[in-house]
Amino acid sequence: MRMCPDRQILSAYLDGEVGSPWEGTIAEHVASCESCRSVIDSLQTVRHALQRGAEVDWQQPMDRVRQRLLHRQPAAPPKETVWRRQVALPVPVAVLAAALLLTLGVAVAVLAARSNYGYVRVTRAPGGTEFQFAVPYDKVEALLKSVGGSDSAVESVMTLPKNVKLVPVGEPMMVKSANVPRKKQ
Amino acid sequence: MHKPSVVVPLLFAFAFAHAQAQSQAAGADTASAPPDPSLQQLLSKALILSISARVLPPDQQDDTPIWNAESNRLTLPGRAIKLRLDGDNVHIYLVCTPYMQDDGEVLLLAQGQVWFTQPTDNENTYFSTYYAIPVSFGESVLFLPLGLSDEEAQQKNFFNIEVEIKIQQYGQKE
Amino acid sequence: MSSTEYAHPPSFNVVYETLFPVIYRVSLRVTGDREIAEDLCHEAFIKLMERNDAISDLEQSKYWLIRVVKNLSLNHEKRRTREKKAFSKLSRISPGLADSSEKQVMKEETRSDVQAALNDLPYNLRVPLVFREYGDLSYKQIGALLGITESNVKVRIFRARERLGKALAEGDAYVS
Repeated sequence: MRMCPDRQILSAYLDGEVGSPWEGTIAEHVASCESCRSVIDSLQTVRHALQRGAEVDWQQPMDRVRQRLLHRQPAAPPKETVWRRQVALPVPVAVLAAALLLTLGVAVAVLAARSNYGYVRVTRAPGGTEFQFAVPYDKVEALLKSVGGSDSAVESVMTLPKNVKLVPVGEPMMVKSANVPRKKQ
Repeated sequence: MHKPSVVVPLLFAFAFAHAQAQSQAAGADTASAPPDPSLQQLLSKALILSISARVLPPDQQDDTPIWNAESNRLTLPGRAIKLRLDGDNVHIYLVCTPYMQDDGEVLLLAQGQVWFTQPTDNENTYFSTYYAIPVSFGESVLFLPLGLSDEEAQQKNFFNIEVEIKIQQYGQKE
Repeated sequence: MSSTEYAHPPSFNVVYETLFPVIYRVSLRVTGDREIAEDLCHEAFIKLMERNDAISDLEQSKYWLIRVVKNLSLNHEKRRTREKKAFSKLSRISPGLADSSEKQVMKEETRSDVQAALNDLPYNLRVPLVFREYGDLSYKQIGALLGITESNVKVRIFRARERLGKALAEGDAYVS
């Protein structure tokens, strides 16, 4: 008759934490050993009690915490002044943005997330979802590096004509052509 | 609710680049070689991003651009296309990543960055915006990096830039 | 939902919806207090939002969040131990007084027999068990989180189960 494995090992076996060759051996043993089976049974009983005992109601806490997270923004800086300020930009903004990009399709009206590097506001706009950044200051080089980025995609470069006054008059926009008001069509 | 179905681009990108290199090396005779099935599969998913950049005069009556450049880039869903527009005092970066949605529409994710240096006092302005626009194949989207031109801009003789983006399926007859 | 389906890392919302229940359960079972558990979750997800690097995948995020919970819950545990000691001192001075106050403090903690039994476990046995049963972490992960060997994890989980088994058997509503 084989020796019974240590009860701690049976506990680990129950957790699937016993390595490959021994697992089979233990399984075989347990199948034929009543004393080990009863150890496993009592361990299983505890397990079931833990899983079944008072199923946790997480829905309400989840909703409450979500509300707290959503409203956690500090007073957002006024839009105009942020955009017109002299800025140089830190690196992680692009990374944070990439992580947020896939919040599309989720019914979030406004999500303001505060990161160490600035504020991001995501709003649903007709025709799409617009993400805007308000960012504080840091090294320009770091940002340019991040813009260069890890993407393997090759850049197309177009050189704009010289001696032409090209000045931002408003915030950049991206719209379907059909929605742009035009004199000629 | 549309959930974009995303293709992991890395493997495909390598395979595609490799296949392209092969066909170039083989010279003009690509038609005779039997198409590699994995390449076929790749190409069936491929997209063409047509980008047309224009500089428009302040005069709203005349829509004729004074400058125009086009770029047609082949890509895959989930693989970004980058464009840079370099001017005297303005630099524009546009990164477009198309995704295919379940319903056959395209979801265009784009990041536009605009750097502008005031020539007079060297003050810098920076904009960064992300967009997510569902479009159909062939539908045109306009990126206006300098915003929408208005009367004030016209009076000051400011020119405007528009970047038109269209997405087509590769191999689609127009 | 495996990480390889995404060209980009999963969004915060996806992470939140998927992992909140797990993190909440773990927090609750470790601390025994619903309010505290909710606060721990709130703190953990704030920290997640504030991370500078991209969220890599759900499994890693879960591990990371549980680690935050562990660090935060340690403070709660220390406070709890101090309160218990204070009460035991109090009960020696004035038994009646201690009784009612202890009941007051403990009310949040004794919602169920299971939770009560868990609360009675020493912290260092409770945590590995909760991480295993509610967090679904492997012995390796638990060991890494707590800075102990896998063997140690195995022992602690076993001891926790043993004690719980006895406590539940002695309790009124024994869930079998």
